Amino acid sequence: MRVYVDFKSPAAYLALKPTMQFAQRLGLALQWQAFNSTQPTDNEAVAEDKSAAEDKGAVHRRVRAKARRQTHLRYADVQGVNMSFRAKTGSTDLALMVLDRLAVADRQQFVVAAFEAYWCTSLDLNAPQQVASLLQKCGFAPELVAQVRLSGNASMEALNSAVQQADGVVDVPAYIVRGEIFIGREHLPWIESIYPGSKA
Amino acid sequence: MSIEPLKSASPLIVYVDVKSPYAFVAIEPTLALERELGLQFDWRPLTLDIPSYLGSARKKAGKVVESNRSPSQWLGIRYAYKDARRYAQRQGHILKGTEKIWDSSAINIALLWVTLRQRDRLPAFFAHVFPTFWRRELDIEDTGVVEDCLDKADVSKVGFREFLFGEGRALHDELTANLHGAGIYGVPTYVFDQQILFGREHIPYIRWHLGGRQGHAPDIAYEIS
Repeated sequence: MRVYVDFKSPAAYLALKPTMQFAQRLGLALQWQAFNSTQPTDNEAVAEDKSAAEDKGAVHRRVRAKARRQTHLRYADVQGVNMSFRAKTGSTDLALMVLDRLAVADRQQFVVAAFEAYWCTSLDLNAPQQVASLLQKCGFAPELVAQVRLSGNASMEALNSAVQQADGVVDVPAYIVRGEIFIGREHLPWIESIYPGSKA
Repeated sequence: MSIEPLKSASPLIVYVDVKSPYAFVAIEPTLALERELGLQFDWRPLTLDIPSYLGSARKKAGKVVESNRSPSQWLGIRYAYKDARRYAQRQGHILKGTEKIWDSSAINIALLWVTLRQRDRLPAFFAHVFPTFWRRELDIEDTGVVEDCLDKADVSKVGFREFLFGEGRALHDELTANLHGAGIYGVPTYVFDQQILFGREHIPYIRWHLGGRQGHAPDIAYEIS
């Protein structure tokens, strides 16, 4: 099962633990993939000040962002995980490109560390030194950061474009199961029903 | 009379809009929860103003003939329909994409009529309106068609037309105007103890909460049978 994530996505972060538990329970191997979620982020919209010039659409987006953020925090509490929203969403492009270059078998360790770094310690996942130290902490070669940087920002765009074309990913977490796409951990019951021998 | 967005005598308020595919697939699980808990939820209309936040479009014979949506909005909308469709199919329904953005206020005022006059007929009203609309067999902007929906659900329509253009419209419009201020923006929305949750994925949490908060709170899930 392929799972697309972006470290700055609160929904992807909250999907991490349930997804790993799900895979372990069903004996599935997860293939973590990078996707730069360009959906309007909850953080920035929340930070927008309510102004007199706000039109109906802007009010809708602000109210939605605030409600989503509260909902994420509710379920972080349910899951017993730390979750600190930043005033402004940080770019995670560099860490996502690093994830894309790692061997599939090594990815889960990096994914766990990167999510924790973003949501619990406010690490800058677009800063070369910080991403390199994260790699090192996971036991991987920090030189990978330099290799990724040589390829430039265009690679992230190219990766996103390829992912959208191949799998139809529009947001994260996205699960690709036998050619079908599911966005959000709320689909895990359906995904479980797809696998023969599962309890569902 | 007026309706406070977050206040109700019922332990749970449920906001729905007939033209929302996500509301459609939430109806049966939410009605099932109502039966399971032996409660009567406070169902209310929320007529979405889709073009204000998601752009607008019109189709003819399956092709888009008018649109001011961005490519990313289209990708998101296509996925949303595909997603709602598979769950609708699982419930035994057909969900066809709409050809335009409907004004669902009249049918939503009819929902209000049913809840105020013959609450016990609400499941029958939903059972007729939602599946028929999503098979593209219901013109919900036609007052006569809306009245026919009341007939089909065995709900009296005596006085409905006056309600639709008078008290019901005023209630509906006042409620709609106050929803954003209360923190409500979409459907299905569930409100309990002044807390707001958007989406049927919260049904497990709502069951846990209304059932007395026994054990550990569950995570979100689209429950399947």
